[in-house]
Amino acid sequence: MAVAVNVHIRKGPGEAAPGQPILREGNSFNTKDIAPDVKGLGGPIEMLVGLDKEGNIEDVEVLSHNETSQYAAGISEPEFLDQFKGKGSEDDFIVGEDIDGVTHATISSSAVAMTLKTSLERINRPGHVSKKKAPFNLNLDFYLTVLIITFLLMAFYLKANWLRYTGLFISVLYFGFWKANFISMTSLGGVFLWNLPDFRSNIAWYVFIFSGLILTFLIGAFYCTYMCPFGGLQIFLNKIFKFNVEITPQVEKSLRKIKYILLWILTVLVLTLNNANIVNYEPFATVFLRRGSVAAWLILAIVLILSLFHHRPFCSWFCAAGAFLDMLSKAGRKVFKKR
Amino acid sequence: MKTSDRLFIFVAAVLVFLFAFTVFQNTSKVYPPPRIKNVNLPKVPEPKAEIPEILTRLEEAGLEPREARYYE
Repeated sequence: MAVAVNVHIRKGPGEAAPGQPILREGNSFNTKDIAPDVKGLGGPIEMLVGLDKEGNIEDVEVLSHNETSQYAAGISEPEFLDQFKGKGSEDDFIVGEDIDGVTHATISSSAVAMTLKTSLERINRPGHVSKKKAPFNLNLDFYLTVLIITFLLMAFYLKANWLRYTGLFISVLYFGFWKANFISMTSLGGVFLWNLPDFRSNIAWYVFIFSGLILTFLIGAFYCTYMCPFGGLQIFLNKIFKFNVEITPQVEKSLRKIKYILLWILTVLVLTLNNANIVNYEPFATVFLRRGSVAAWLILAIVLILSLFHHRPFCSWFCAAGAFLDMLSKAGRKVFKKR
Repeated sequence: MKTSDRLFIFVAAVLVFLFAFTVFQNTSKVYPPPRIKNVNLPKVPEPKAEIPEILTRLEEAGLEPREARYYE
């Protein structure tokens, strides 16, 4: 007979007997009890971890998480989790080095690795603080993100249409289909709830999201007009089809209010339910990751068909994140006008 | 109001319904929180310690056992 004991920390890991292991020899623990402060974009990732007698990981099971389902499906799979077997608190747990991340789920992969690393350290060496931190992940993704945003900024200032369309095309391909990066209500909700992923491991994501937000505040609708891959996709569909149906300005004005109503309702939901993933309604992940529910595919199909007949219908009427950026841009204009 | 206006309003209404349905679906997945049932606990190949011993050690370490399970 063996025994698995789930524990919660009564005094805090640092206050247990210094240098003495908390759990050893054939025990399992719940990471939410040991390292609830380590988060992905949707908060802590709850895992059940079994330890061997050396205090190394024997098995891992993801119990629950609030990461965006289209991205994070792979973090529960054995192909990813089996990499952690046999690892102990002396290992690095760095995605891209000793751990292979799940494609399109770098944030969630890093969160799983950091959660396990932190839990093991707290269990095996209470009071010990690891000096070795994950290195700044200045990889190709980071440099390409900086390069593309610089190009888009240049297009913004030169006001040349061909530069803008070239930039948008690159954005659709790279930020959209390659990286599946975009500002959505889920990512904004994560920021609102301060569920921020590890900075060092996800520096390219920070550059993308915060340059979108900060530049929109400083210079106006930069993200929506120049950076948004889904906006770009709608523009290109509309340009190819060249068949715009006129709408009465009054109706257009009423439809534009929908995105603001959505923004307020979804923000209240995120803040009251403390979960950013529940407001994942946009078709962004469906198109760029080619994953989604039946309803998500239906939304995408309708929006793309609508884009053939109208200029950026999703952005104009339904994009709650766009409504937030619009307000941010207006706030920026007010601030700089006063000065 | 033109026919095209009516058509766009209708499509917008359908989309808003689908958004609400998607958010409702997301919410119902989370509340109650999704717990994987019949989770196979990570198995330990050999008996490593007796329960009283583990409980004593947890007590000494300032922890309290919340749940203990036996398995073959």
